[in-house]
Amino acid sequence: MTTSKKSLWLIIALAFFLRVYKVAQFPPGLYSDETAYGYNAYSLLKTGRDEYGKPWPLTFKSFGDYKPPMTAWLTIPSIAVFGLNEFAVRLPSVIAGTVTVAIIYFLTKELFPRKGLKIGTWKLRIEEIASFLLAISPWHLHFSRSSMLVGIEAMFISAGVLFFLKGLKQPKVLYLSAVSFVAAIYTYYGSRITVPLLLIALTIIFKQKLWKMRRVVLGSAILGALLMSPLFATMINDPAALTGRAQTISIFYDSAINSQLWRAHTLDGPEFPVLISRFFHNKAYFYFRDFARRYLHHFSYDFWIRTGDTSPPFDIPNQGVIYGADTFFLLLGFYLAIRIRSQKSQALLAYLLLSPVVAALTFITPAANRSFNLIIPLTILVALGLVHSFSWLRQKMTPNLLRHNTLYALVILVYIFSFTRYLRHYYVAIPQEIPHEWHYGRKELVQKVSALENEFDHVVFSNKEGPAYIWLLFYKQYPPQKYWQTAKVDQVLNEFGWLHVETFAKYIFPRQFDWQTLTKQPNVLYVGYEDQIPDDWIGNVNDRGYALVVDDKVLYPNGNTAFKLVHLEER
Amino acid sequence: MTLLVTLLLVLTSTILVWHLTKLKKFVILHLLLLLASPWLLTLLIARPRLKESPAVQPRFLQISENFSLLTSAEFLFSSGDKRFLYGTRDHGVFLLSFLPLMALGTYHSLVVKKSSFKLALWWLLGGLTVGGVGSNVAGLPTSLWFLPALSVLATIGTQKSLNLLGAKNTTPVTKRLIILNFFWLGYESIRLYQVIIFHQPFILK
Repeated sequence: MTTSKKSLWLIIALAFFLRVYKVAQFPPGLYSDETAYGYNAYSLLKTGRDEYGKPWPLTFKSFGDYKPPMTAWLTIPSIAVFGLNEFAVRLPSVIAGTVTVAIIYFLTKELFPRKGLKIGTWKLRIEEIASFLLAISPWHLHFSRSSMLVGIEAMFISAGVLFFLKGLKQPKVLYLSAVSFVAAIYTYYGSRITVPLLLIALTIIFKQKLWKMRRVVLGSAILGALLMSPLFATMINDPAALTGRAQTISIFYDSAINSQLWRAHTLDGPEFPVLISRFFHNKAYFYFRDFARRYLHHFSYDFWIRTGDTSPPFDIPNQGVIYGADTFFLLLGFYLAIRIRSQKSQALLAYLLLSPVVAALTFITPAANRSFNLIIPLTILVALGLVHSFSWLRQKMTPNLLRHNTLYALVILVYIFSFTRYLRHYYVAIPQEIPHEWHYGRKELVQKVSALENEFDHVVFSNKEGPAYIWLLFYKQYPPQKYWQTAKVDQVLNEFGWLHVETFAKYIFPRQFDWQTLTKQPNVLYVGYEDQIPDDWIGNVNDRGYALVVDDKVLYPNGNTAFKLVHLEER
Repeated sequence: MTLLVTLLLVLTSTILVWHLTKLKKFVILHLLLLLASPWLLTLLIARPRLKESPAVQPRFLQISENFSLLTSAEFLFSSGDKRFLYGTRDHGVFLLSFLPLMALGTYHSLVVKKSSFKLALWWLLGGLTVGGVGSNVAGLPTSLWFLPALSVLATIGTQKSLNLLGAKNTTPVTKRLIILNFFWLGYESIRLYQVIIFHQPFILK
């Protein structure tokens, strides 16, 4: 085995270890979307239908958000082998993350062949640096350790770009590129914008080479269209499958712009000519400015280094999406990529600049998930900056080997420090400070409910922080057929695009779980968050006096109470 | 005091532009760009106090927060310093259409071999460091350490854009993009004055 192959396998082993180590426990809890994918995959495995009884759907209705299918499909074999549990649900992401580390190795090699740096007699290639940096990237690790779609999407898109570049030399590889890009579209809604934009950019950059192999290009396009045809058919039958939840999170759905426009027109005053007022304050300009502002959020100091994405569950306390040490090399790499002016470096820049477009079209920014494709070009640029800065130093500082090696050691130390700091934040701060963001405690809750429920006629659950029914289905491994028979679902979507499961079996999920207004009955077990149920309550039900009895509690890792299980007892 | 600082900043940046280009037309262009800059108009019209605010956070956290604000697109191109008299709140310290010009100016300054072109970059880096490290609360007064440098870079970018427009080997797409950006700059500049004159953001209502 050659040295480069050995180093690649070592990096892949490291990447796999960092992604699979205690993946069922960290992040703590199983997020609602992960749980939904897990149960739908389980339902498909057992019955060939999703949780609504629809056979092999190309879009999963789930919570009303019409999830794309690829993640569920990839989870089926994992659940078949390991059972319905956290590990099985997250394993496909772990594997996709590890494969992406290998992909970035070959992609970097394709983009910048024969680049590297020498440390003594040891030659370190740029592709080795890029894949190592991706293996320890906090952003990539976060999404490789949870079943969050974008980890798998990034794998398919990076593979698509790699095969596209390879296809310029071996045309038949373009077919693989088409398959990868279509797979990305089946994985994540954002790809329905990212992939066409990326393909347009790549076509413009390599138009001459592509023209020379137009037959294969046409063949790949036909293959892509054929693979997309089932999805097109689904979109025609059910228009909700086209956009999913995208319409409720887009900047066009947000009322903020309308408020700004109204304010601007009001400030112009009633005397001001309407047409001129509209010329200065119009939707096109305001939306464009809002889009640009949100786009630039993804290139900010806050997002990169200081806070990252602070919205749950993508937050790692006090941790940006890249390491502070990356910044200098990233800026340098960006500059070099512009200077190199090769078609391949242009392709890399297009990859970089197009990745946050989808995120900028939504009103929650910066969004680490929707802009996740950025991680690939960013990492390659960091590696490029690193290689060049050390090559430059080597030229300037030889023959003073001591000073040279001291600088290497310093950079390595900074990365070790950054990585250790990240590990502490990930493995300590998340469970201690924000376990609720990952819906911690649901497994224990279902176990405790299962132990108590036979004593009660009904169990009433709070839906705060996520639809409670899905964890019951998941952790009880509830037979899908029984669920279809007893579930009552309100199909009307609320303003955020969610539908509401009202009840199944003996479980009830009221839209509002407010203890003061909740209909109280004896022989009912109530399950809610700590702040939703009082410790003491005395009142009348059907003219008889009752008092609240706490049956059990579920605690967070820091000892605070997460959930309470209570019932009423006659005084 | 505010007016004096403003004049000093305008003068220094104009001298730098003259030093770099040696052409009157670019000095005029620079002055025109300055007059389309929300930060300068705020200083000239609202004349906010430039005195330092008292420290509110531990030093390290404050430095990090300062850099966060001063380098954010929100501050630079979207909402600026949101305090009354420190910005229009409808614009950043620059108009968004300045961004492509600044990017081009920065790139040109980095690439060109003439060392004097690096002056604006050093001013930017130095000003950002002083503004980030040396102040208690980041905002318009703190950013004055480097805003003129960005204005100079925007002027260099405009000069480069005009050169590209005149060059034979510039692709039609690039030419159209440059013209589009100039139209956009014109639109945003008129809009800036419309907001200042009719919305009167510097008058307490």
